Amino acid sequence: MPKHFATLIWDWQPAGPLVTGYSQNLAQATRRIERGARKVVNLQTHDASADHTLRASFLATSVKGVFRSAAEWLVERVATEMGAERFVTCGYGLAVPESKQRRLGITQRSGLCPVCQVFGGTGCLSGRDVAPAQRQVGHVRFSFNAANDATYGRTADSPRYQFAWEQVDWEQVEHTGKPLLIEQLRFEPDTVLEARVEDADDFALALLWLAGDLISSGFFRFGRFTSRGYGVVRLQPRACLRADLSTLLSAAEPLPQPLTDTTSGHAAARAFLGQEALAVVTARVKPWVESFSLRSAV
Amino acid sequence: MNTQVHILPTKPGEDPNRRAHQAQVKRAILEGQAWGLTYLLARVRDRAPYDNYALPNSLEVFEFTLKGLLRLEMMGKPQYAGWRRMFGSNTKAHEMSTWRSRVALKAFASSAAALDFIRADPLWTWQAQPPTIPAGRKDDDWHVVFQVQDVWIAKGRYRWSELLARFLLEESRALHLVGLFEPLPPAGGGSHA
Repeated sequence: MPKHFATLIWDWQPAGPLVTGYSQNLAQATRRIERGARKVVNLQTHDASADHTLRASFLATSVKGVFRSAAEWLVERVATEMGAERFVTCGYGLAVPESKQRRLGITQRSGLCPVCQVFGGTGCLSGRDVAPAQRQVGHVRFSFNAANDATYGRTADSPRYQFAWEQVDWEQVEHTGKPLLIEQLRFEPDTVLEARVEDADDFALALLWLAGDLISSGFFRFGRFTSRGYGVVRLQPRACLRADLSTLLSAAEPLPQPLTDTTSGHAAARAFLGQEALAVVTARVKPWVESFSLRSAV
Repeated sequence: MNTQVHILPTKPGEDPNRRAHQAQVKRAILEGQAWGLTYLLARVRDRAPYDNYALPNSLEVFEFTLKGLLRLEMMGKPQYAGWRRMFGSNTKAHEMSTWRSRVALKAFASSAAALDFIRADPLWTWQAQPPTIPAGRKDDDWHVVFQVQDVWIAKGRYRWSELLARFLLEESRALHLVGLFEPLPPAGGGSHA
């Protein structure tokens, strides 16, 4: 079967404030804020579509990280539903402290989990002797608005925040805590997010669409202050293209197929793949979980 | 006339069982993932819930400060204090002492707006028979949506979302639980004991 490439396109619809970028220390070191100022500013990058001026931006690479987190969460959920009590993806395995790894069976693991096979990785033995041999480049790359590595928008300062414990009024004593200002990003309404996928089998597309749904729900968010109402982005599937290389290079370049009446990635997968996305993911995760169980038994 | 004084504790760092509380949350996150997603919906119960604290006037400021308020409210309740770090921790210590919150917040001007947000969740399309989300009202004051990534706690006897729901129903002076929705129930069923 020839290798297929795919492009998945979502409408990027923020549902609340967004902020990303510099830590307080870096913002001070780069003189974007004064030392001690309680202000959060965004990462700035050169905007190729606006004379390469520095503008507050949101990087597509951070989008990949959130998609990966959502995909890992989903694969671990599917594995747990199969009864795999100690299954973890490589990403989770890397986050677990060494003292807990043996208990979770991580020291017995080799090979790349289904998520690494799409997003790339080194497995959960990264940093040890075995890791370089199994390093794999990711098969998915994200961009905004037809191959921009970032999206740019207007910025506006938040209201003046004080944390709850700074607002508590003890015996009418005036509080001296400085209010916090946050530079919020607002994107143009026509922003679209694209995922370009190599080796675009059904599993890769189903995983990306379902991860997009988890993000769109708001349970997985972007940027900073995500647990304080920030970072919710609705991702509405808009179009998809999948073709082999010879078709892509042919004179009649194929266009992405619009996904109409698809309010979710789950529905998009059903329309485009003709299959239930969760069933596709489950079918790929099953042999991985079974092989893990066999290794544990040995 | 009820003259009982209600004081919100101020400093989040005054926990004599800090290490034990950190450890129990760390263990729950490592070993008790439920792989379930739950919405809790709460309305504002009282805009001046404490004698030393009143809610901000702006909805946006309220949304941002709410997480801190709930953590402080929990700190004053022994059965909840140990779990307030499920809202996230940043101790700057090594190995898993920093973790992200297992609940994300979103505030709305009314129950209708909050329920619109819940209804728009694409995860409902994953279910064969999604529940009917009510319409709500447009004039019934601020509401808060809690999006909980669930974790089994207390040795698997119950979930973080259940504990938080009980807190909002019985203990919080600022908020009151009015709804619960489960777009993705826990993997493997409703028990982990």
